Amino acid sequence: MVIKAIILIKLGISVIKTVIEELKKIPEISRLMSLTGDYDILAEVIVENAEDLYEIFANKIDLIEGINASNTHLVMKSWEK
Amino acid sequence: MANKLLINIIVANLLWSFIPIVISGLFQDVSIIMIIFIRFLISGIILLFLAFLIVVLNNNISIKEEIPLGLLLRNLFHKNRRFYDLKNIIYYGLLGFFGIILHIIFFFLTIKTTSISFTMSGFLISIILIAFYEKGIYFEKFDIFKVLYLVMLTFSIIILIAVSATGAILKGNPIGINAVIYLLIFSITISFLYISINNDAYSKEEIKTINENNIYKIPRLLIKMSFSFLLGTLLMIPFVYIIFLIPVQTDLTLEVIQFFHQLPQFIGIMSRWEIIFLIIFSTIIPYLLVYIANANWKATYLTYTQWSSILNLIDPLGSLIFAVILVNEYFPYEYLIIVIFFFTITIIFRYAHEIKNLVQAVVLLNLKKGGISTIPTRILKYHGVQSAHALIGTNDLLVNIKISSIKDFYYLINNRLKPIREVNNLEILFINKQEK
Repeated sequence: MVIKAIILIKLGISVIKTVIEELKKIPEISRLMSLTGDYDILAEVIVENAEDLYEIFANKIDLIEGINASNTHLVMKSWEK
Repeated sequence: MANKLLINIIVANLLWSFIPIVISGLFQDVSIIMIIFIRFLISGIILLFLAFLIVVLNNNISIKEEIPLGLLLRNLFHKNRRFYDLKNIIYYGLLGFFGIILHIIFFFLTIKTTSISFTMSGFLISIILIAFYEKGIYFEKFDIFKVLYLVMLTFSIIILIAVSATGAILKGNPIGINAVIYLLIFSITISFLYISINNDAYSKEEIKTINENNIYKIPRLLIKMSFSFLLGTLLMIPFVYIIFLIPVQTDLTLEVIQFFHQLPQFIGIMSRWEIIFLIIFSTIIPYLLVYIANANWKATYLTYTQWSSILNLIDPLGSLIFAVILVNEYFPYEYLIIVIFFFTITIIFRYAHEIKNLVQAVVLLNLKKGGISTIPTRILKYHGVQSAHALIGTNDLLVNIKISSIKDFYYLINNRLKPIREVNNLEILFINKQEK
């Protein structure tokens, strides 16, 4: 079963370019946006199961220098126009 | 090219640009009213048939979710909140008569009494009219790109009118005040078409169906255009009678008289190659192309409507080039090159203007208990809302917004989303750049 997650990321100062370059290297991130607001980056992750989500987060995203905080949401259902 | 569906819009505009060339031959012996009557009556019936065919094929052959025919028909009687709360069927009728039939009548009349190049200036006038309408109604700011493309359009209009007026004098048939009036009515009615054609909103039930089967959008759009054609044609009949009864004789009166004389030859005229071309290549195929593009649009940046408005200059530009090359209309090549250059620059500036003003944002919502079951489909109806995602986490719902200006964004947030009773809290995150 495919799991889709939205990870909202807060960054330190002057690290956005390097963090985005690191995030782009992660194939499971299907969409990546730089934001203005309480969060600096939105990453949409698509994985096979919860274990994979943990692996990507713990071993890839969480290790990137410059990420101060993150907030992960699981997507239950999507609607499009 | 970022989006392959752009080809559909380009091909549709190129097909439309052949219309003046094809109908010029018909004008010799067929009434303008008759051409329009046959074109839209037959096209309306074919589009309606195609809509039902798609529904039947989908429901019987495709593995996709069923398209409820009843929902498509019920939509005709829904109130359209984006068009003065009138029922959709009335909206389609008004769009069909004022936006399509009247615009084509005066488009054809201008071509018949003047030239293709003079008539093409009507398209450009309509873009300027729409720009000022949007400024007046939506308080849209004129940025540098918009000012530049409006200046380019003004120069193009001056060249088109001046060159075609010279050509008309050389032919010994100067452009009269009547032709100028036809051109202005054509420009106003086509502006109404462009402004109103997307004032359409899906119902909550329809949003649910689209999420189960995206194909639903195609028969729905086909039914909309088919009813616009058929109701527009129906409303043309009393209009024609009124013109006939008015004692003042105009070019239009002569067309009406010719129409009544030619009614017994309806079948014969219908089988002429020009009429068949108009129905198939200028109506059915281009409309199908744009509907398929609209239904499957997955643009990463601009919306379908924005691209469509940028590329609609291809139609008058193509007509002008074909008029000079194929029917030897008077338009010296040096002026043609200047106009092509201005049109190209205008397309680039329009693109720059749309990109510059586009607002993309993610809105995170916290909802009251029970809100998640009703709010997503409800907010998806609003103009600018692209998608909604139900979440498990700090927030309950993520809404993707793509809207053409900050004014529209302000309206969506403050007049649409914030007043929802079930919304506890709302957080806006503007998208600076789509990185992947």
